[in-house]
Formats: sequence, C-alpha cells, structure tokens
Amino acid sequence: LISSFDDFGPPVHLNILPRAFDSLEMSEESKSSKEEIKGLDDEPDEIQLKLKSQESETYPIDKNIAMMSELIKTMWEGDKEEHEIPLPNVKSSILKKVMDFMKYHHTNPPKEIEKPLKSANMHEVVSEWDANFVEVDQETLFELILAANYMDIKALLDLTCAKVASMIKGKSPEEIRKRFNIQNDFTPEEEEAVRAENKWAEES
Amino acid sequence: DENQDSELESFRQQWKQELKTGPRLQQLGAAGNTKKTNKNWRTGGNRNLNRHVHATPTASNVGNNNAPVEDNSRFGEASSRSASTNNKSIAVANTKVVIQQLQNVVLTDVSSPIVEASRNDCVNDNYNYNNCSGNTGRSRMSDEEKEQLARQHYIRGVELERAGQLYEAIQQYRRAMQLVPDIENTALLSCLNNDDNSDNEDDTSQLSENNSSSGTGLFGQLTSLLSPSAPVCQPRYQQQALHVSSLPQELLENILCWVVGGELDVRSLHAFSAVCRGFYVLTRAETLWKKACQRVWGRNCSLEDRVPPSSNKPAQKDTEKSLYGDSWRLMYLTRPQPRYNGCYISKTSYFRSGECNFHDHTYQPWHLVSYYRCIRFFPGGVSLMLTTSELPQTVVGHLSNRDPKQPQVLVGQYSLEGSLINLKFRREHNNKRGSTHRSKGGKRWGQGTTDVAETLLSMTLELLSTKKGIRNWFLCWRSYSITSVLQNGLVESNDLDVSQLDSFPQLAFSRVKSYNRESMQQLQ
Repeated sequence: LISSFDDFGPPVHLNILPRAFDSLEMSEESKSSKEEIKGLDDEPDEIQLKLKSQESETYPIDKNIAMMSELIKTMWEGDKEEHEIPLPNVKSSILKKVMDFMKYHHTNPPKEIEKPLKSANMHEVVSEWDANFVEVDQETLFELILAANYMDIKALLDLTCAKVASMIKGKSPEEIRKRFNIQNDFTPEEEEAVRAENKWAEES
Repeated sequence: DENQDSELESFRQQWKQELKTGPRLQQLGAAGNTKKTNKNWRTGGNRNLNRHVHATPTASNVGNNNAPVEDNSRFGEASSRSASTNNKSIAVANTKVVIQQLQNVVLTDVSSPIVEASRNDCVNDNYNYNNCSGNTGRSRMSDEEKEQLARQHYIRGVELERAGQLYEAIQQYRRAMQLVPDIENTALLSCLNNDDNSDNEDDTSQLSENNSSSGTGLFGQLTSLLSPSAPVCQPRYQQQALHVSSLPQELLENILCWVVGGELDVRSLHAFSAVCRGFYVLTRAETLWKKACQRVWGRNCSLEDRVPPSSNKPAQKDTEKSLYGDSWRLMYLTRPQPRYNGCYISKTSYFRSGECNFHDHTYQPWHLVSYYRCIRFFPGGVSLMLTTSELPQTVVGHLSNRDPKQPQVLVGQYSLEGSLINLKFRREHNNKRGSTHRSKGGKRWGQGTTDVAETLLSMTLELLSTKKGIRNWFLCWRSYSITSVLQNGLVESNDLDVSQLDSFPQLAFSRVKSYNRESMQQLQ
C-alpha cells in the first residue's frame, strides 16, 4: 500500500488526517488502525486503481469504474490494500479499449431495454456508441471476448458475443468458413451425412 | 547437440541454395513472417499444389501410393511447395534430409525462414492448444491417448493422400507429428486396417434412424474422433491473428446462444454445424436445445411430455419410454410447434354482388374480392395477424417486430396444445374507425360496427405437414369464434363455420429472410 504511493506521492486528503499519521513511515501495528481511520476519512470514490497489462504497463482507473469487472471487484475485496491489479492475460491495447468501455458505461448507464423490443435492428437497440465500439477487426473482437470473459464484465461479453453471432447468422457454411478462416475437416461422407441431417431438421 | 547443429547447418545450406533459385522462396525469406508473406505462402503453395497434382507422375509420385516410407518424400515436397516446380528435383533429392531436419526443428529453436513459417504453424496450433482458458480444468493427455490420437491423424493423412487431397494430408501428418514426433515408425508397426473406411459407411446408414444416443451415429463418430483438449477447429490458412479456435468451448456455446437468440433461429445453427467437425459437435450440446425447448413450451416442459391426441390422429398408446429418448434436440425438432422465421399466409377469394348505384360508373354485376391473411408466431406466446388486400410480399415487413407500429396488425397470444394452436386476438374500436370494409370469413359486418367497443377473435388452428413430410407447414382451421363487446356492455358471440374451405383456406408457411437478420436477445 505504502509503496504504491511512491510514484504519485501521498493523496492530497492525507493532509487532513491527524498529525500522528503525517509520516509515511508506518509501522505494521499501526497499519490496522490506520486502515480504520482510513475508512473514515478516505473518500472511497477517489481511490485510483492501477491495472497492469500483459506488457506490464499500468493504467490508472477510478475504483468505482473498475468495479464493473467482477474479477477486479473480487480482487479488491480480497485485499483492499493492493491498488495494483495485475491482468497478465490482457494486452495493453485491449485493456485500453476495455477501460474505455467501462468508463463510458459508468457515465452512461444502459437504458432499460423496452420489452417487447421495438426494433429488429441491433444498431437501434444497443446504443450508437456500443455499435461503433465493436466495429473492429476480428482479432480485436476475439481478444475483447477473451478479456471480457477473463475480467468478467457481463455487458462487454454480451456485446461482443452478439457481434460475433451477427457475423454468423444467416450465412452459409462456406461463408462462415471464409469469414473465420476455418478448415473444413469433414470427409465427403460426413459432409453428406451432415447435409442430410440438416435437411431433415429444417423440414421438421 | 553437435549432430543437430551440423544437420541444421547443412539444412541452412540447402535452403540458401533454394533461396537463390526459387523466386517465391525469396519473398518468403526476405519478408519474414509478415502477414503478406503468409499470403504469398498460401497462394504460392496452392498454385504449386494444383500444378503438382496435374503434373505427370514422377518417380516420387508413383512411389507414394505403395509404402508409408515414401510418404516422407511427399511430406518434404509439400513443405517445400513454395519452390517452383522447376526446382522439384532439388527438393526431392533433399527430402529425406529435410524431413529429419523438420522433425528435429519442429520442437527446437531455428531461425531458418521456411522452418520458422511451418514452426509458427505448429506453434500457433500449440498456442491455441494450450491457451484455451476454458480448458484449464482438463488434465493433459496421457501418452497413450496422445499416441492414439496421433495415429488417427496419421491414418487420416494417409487416406487423404490416397484420395489425392495432399494439402489436407499434410495437415494431418503435421498434427500427428506435433503429438508424437516419430509417429511414422510407430504407425508402421501397427497394421493399417480398413476399419475406418467401413465405419464411415456404417454410420451414414445409421443416420437414417436419427439415432440420438452418443455411442452411434454421426455425432458419436465425430466425438470419438475429436480429442476433448484439441482446438475445436483448425485455421484453413495460417494466420498470425487470433483465430476463432482460441475461444474456449464455453464462450463458443455462449455465442451460439446469441446466434439462436430469443427468436430461435435454428436455421443458422444448422449452417453452423456444417462448417467443421468441432462446430458440429458444439451444436449438438443438449443444454442449447433444452433452453430452446423451454422457450417454446415453458420452463416446466419435460422430455416425458405427451402430445395430446388431436382430431386426426388417434390417441397414442402410453408407452413407458419417452417419445424423445433423452434428447432435447429430438423433442425440439419433432414436437409440433409453429415456425418462427416467416409467416403463415392464406388467400381467400369470394364473389360479391355489385351494388347498383346510378351515380357510380364503376358498376359491375359482381366483384371478385380477395384478401390475404398473414399470421406470424413468436416464441413465448406472442402472435401477430394481419388481414390485408395487399400482396403479402409488401406487408410482411409490418410483422417483423413483436410490437408493430401499424394499427391494422393485430397482436395476440397463442398457446400450444399438441398440434393445436389456440389464438386470441383483441381489436379495440373507437368511433373514428367507423365501419371497416375488411371482411372476415366471407361475411360482411353490417353498419352497426360503430357500436362495438372491442372485438375478441378466438381461433383454433392445427399444424399439419405437407404430403412430402415437411412438418409444421400448414395451418388448418378448426374453430373460429368472434365475440363483440358492445359499448353498452352487451356481449355477442358468433361462431363461424370453418368447414368451408373456400372461406377458410389453409394457411401455408412462407419463410421471410429479414426476420432473423439480428438477434435481439440471447437464448436464456
């Protein structure tokens, strides 16, 4: 906890703490009492967490915004002293995008989706911003899915999975193979069998 | 290792030679492993492969069909396929050595360009292999399993090669070698029996029984072929970027729930299953079909549900076994339910005598009135109905949302009872509407419609199949009653005679592609 202040210096609000705690050299015994005092005087909203990407780059983010990720929330609740959250599975570029998403959705909570849904067009149901957010190349999209899964951010996972689903819907098998670069590993007999099965299923 | 180093040196010498002579290889060598290079690799390889296949058989070509030992040279040739065919002789001469190098360097660190490229292939595969975060719970394959799988790949490769699909054969060999580097020698010891071929034929015939148990049938065969920890699909062409196979299985199932969606677009699911083996196995996951069944028949539906007897079919004998075995998929596909990706449309025509009106110059002794009735069903009990004189093609767009904007479209509920559908629609009248010229069942409402506050339409239709066996295609009238609630509170009920097929023709299904363009919600 103390070491993380080295870069930025002590938070400004420490100035209003009693003089006994002005010094940064805190002993272990007084740490627990400091924690209690900290709870009273520290504004939880202003805590900045630092997310550490795969390339060991750290990015600051408000704690409340970061709570959108269940993983970060669990890690924070497990150790409130630790302000640096390591995310070794997430690349820097992807982490930046995820943070953009969390920041935007923190300030713009999703509208209640009216049931029944008014439009058949996804772009009209999700916000314009969301639709643009997932207009990225396939690799980034997959990275976002993996990151959303790892960091456990349901809204982002839903958005990205829905986007991939829209790339699959209504397409023929060959089109799907082309789109996702997938090798057709059926034997001719298997392929024929699958085709017959699907024909039967469609007619049911 | 000193031996390895010297081999690698000679290997490097060979490739330097080929780099000077082969223009395509030069590109490969110079550009390293950029995406552009991969493209050249791919197109260069394919072009060469085509040429190779159609070329007159060379000594190595003919030799390959006999003994597996010769397969080495094929492997070496194809791996050096970027070389132009003029240099085939050079490649052929060095194949044996090349194979050794490749086998050794697949797992070691070498900086030769072409080996890098093929090693990246293997590394990518391994990356996908090991990086599936969803697979952390699964233990590593034992050596026996590895060898078994490697042998399967190897045998598959031999089959493909015999069939002339060289590119696919290479992939199988490579996969086999990734698992067990000297699979060739061990595979030689075990006899290559013809069981695989006969198994294929057996399974296609079993398919006609639509056997859902996992032991037999196409599903069983494919699940046994696929190893649980292997990636679900393979990239067709080598790619640097993250491939869809790196997504763990649970995420792919999540995506499938979006593909099917709340509107139950199983047609997309069928297309998805025809992409590759792994995807096929994914689509047969019972959890997906169970959710779909629950969407249609409610949370409390079970596999033991019996279809209540309808008017046409006699009561079914209550057997011990459930109709659908243990397969939700079978229940979804065989139990009667309306189709959701289109409308049921019927056309009714009748003659109306013309009104003699002296001022009206359009007098005709009779008029032919025809109107279309379009009914659309949504999973979850919502239905829409539109009766219109316009052509259905122009008006199906009005039925695309659960909450239509047009006032002429009636919104109602339906419930399923076996193959019977009970529909209820409600139309509210306000005085401004006055009398509508729309007719129902050949009768014309009189001038008294201004007194009606609301109309309740209650109808029962039955799902029928076509003669060729296409299920849930026709809707046949069973009953229709119209209840009018007058503004003074009186209720009038009218039961229409639906047995006249002229007035109440069958409704036939017609698919509308635009209904399933996007998924609005995930299948829960």
